[in-house]
Amino acid sequence: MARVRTRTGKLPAAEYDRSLVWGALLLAALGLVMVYSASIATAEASRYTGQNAAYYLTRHGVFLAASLLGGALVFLVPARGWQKAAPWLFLCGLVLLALVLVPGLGREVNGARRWLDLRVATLQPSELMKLAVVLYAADYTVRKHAVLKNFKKGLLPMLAVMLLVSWLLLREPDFGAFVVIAVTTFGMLFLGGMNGLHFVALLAMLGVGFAGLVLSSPYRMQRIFGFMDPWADPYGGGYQLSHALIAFGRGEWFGVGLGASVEKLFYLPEAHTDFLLAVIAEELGLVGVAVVIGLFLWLVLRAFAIGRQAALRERHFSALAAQGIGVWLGLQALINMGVNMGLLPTKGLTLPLMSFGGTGLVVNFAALAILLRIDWETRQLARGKVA
Amino acid sequence: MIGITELRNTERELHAFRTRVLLSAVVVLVTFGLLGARFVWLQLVQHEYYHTRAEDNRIAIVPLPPHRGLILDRNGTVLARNYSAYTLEIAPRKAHDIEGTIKMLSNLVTIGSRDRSRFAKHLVEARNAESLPIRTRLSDEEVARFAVNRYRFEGVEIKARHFRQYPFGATASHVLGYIGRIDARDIEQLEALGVEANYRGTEYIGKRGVEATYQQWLHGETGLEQVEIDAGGRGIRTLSQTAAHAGRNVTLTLDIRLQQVAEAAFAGRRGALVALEPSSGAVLAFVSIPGYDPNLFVDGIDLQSWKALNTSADRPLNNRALAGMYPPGSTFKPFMALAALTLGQRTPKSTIQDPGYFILGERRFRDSRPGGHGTVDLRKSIVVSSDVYYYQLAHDMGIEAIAGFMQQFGFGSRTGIDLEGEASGVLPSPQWKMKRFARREQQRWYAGETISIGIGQGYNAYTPLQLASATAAIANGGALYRPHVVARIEDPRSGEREIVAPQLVRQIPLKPEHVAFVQDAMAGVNQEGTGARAFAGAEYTSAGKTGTAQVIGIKQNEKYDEDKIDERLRDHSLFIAFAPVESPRIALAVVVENGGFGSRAAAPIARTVLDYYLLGKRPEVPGQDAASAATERP
Repeated sequence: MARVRTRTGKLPAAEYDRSLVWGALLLAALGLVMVYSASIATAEASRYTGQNAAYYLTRHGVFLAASLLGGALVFLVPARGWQKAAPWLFLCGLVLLALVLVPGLGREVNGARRWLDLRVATLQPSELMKLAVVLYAADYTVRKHAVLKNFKKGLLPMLAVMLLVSWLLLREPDFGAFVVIAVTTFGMLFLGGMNGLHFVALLAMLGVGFAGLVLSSPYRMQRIFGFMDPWADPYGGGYQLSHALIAFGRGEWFGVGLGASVEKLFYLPEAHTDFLLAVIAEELGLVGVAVVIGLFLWLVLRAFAIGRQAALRERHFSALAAQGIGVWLGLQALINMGVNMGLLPTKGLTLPLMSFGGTGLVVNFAALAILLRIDWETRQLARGKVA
Repeated sequence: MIGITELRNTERELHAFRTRVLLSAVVVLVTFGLLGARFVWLQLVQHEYYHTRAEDNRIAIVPLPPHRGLILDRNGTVLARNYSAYTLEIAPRKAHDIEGTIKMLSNLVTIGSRDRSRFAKHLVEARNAESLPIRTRLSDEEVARFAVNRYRFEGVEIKARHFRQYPFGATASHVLGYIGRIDARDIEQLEALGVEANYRGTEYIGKRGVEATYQQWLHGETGLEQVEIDAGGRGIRTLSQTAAHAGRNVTLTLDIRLQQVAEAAFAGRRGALVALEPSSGAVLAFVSIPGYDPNLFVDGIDLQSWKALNTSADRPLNNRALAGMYPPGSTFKPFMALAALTLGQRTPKSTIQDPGYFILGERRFRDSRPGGHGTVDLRKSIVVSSDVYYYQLAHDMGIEAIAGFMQQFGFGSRTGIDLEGEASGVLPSPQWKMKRFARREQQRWYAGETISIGIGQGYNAYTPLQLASATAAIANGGALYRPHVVARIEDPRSGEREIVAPQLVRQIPLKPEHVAFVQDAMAGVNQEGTGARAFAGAEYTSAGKTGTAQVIGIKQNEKYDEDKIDERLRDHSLFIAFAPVESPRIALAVVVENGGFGSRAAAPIARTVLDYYLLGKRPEVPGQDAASAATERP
């Protein structure tokens, strides 16, 4: 696209959301550096990685390149295409989730069966499912728009489908993905115009159910609230968290410097995946984490803004999909950070766009590409062109 | 109409949508805000706290506990030493199911019921200990077998530890004492002394005897090692090291061979013997029998043995020589005689008539010999042990004078020996009675009570150690030394020695001729008197005095018949002696519990000990084999 100067000499309004692109790329780049820094000691010491210090760096780099390429391809697909494909994608996701549970197909790591072995790489269906659910929920809301306020016709089918998804996810178990998918779906239904009373009732039910579950067993209570005082059992349940907190505490304003983290030296397990933020905090300090939080916040707000623009142009599916993506990525980032800082119980959720993990990265970038596509389409509309 | 409704609907929906988006945005901002706040709190406010936590994580200060010093006898024979062995230990805080773990372990290594009960005892006593032994002294094969299966046992480890060993077993156990695990009371004491830092990494502490009194020297100084560790707590490299300073070797004044001879001479009877070097107060033999095997306590005593030791009627844990209080009986008479001479109450020449009884008011005091000893002078009163002479003497002197004189010999006060748990004994006096009793009528001193004091009965009660120490003072012309069991303390590294100098408690003001007279009378006891049979044919000169102490009171006009009385209620047999008379090298006191007359049970033991010490002659008793066999052990 050639740049056309207007008479006033200013650039015309951009055809895509530059700040979003740059923000995402910045997060990804920082993620690449930090994954390397966080994994270097573990990789060098492990026989599994062939004592190759750059093992995780190389792999993460390859994933990132694949994600960018994939993103570019996704960008070429019009939003209407996604809307049509949404139910099928969702069905695909369900099948994959079921396949993971089939013995012999699903690969088990640390007692969780979350991966499908594809020989070249492993696939994590729960990550794919997150995107599929966002698209499906957007499509569903648009399709059922007229009856959405009706409990039986509008809400019940979605509830039933979600129950199935939840059951599959909790069988793995992947509690983190379950929370993200459930909250995103109902967030989208809420935004899409579901009955406010239903929403409040649902929230209340969830709250009561959760409280009952926790209070009924002291063991579960301990599991869930153990994170509040990790020092009570610093070598057992609180181990990971206490080391994450130490990492944060060491960081102060500017951190101990890139590469100088002590906690990543075997103390903090999963430093390059779930606890990447802790390493960022230790090495780059308050400034580093503030940048990360700021970028994610910007990303979420942009997604909402894009959704709003689409809604103004009566593109309801696009609007909901954009907001759904925003809710999903924002929520996952929030939960991951909350876990890192000891605000939430430890759950296996990665930091979107940054943490090590192939499927997650590809899906995150695909989602961003869809977001950008929606934005691009909206802007085209604004210029009077038909996308 | 329809168009307008639709329009209104759309408008309303758009409005609802906007509110909901706004609400969502607020939720997002608030949650991100919370995150940010938490983050500032962690990273800025609590920076110091977590920074320190991280350093603690990375660098571990590992204490290097010192080797405990040896205990040797005066000839350099090792009485307490260390050996290293593998132990199987469970960390109670890391092992989740201790019972199950022990069960599984017993499939790999033999774990007996004693091991189990000992572990259970440890668990109760040392709840917060890092790790506790379930088995000690593992064989190499057992070590290997566990090592292969180690991954199955969380919180179980093999450790190389040093153990205390007492090669002579029960011999001299009441002097050596033993070590045991540091318990809560020890920790309190260490903290009171402000030395708890020096005990990091140390698990054992002296509990009794020399092991306890000389704890600070035997222990040494703990070293420190700064180690960089990884997440698993395993050391990566040593950053700095301060070596431990091994404990000092403690050499006793005790002669273990003499000790063995003395213990064997008791031939299974209960009692105590203390032999001192009169010129220094050095303890040559210190017997309290029965004793106990201190090795039982080293890896922690099991419940059964502990109960057995505690409930035995023989009370093997009681240190009779140090804390047992016995009426001195007639062994008190030489001291009474010395008092009479010194205070001018009697001259060697003055005599009395001993009809076999002494009457005070309405009360009759009987002599041990029916019919009495006839005309008795001071020398004869000691040699034949006349009771009537001393009834009369005590009556003439009065209780105040007796107590005042006796107190100089250390009767009724602690000798200050370097062993803990010494009893002070009872030197009766009106003042003592005032303090001892609460009721008015009990506090009064009766004249009749003075009479029995004269022959070492009544309220009189002294430890064998006091008796030996006082005897040494007679042998020594009135110089009373503080008894001590440690001769010197030596630093095994530098060879530096600290020698324990004899400590004169007091020079009792006595006239040499009075001392000589009493010494001579005591020599007469062994030549022609009550000790003559035991000392027949001795190749050295010796002085002695027999004593018999009543365990039960005998009614007036009732005869004491040994055969009719239960063994435990029979009289105690006592003997004091020193030799050679001209220049005494050894002074001793013997008590044989329920041994009957002093001449029968206690005197022969004294003879055996003197024979061995002065001539190197071993007794011809069955006990000899055991004694010599034990000496040959390393």
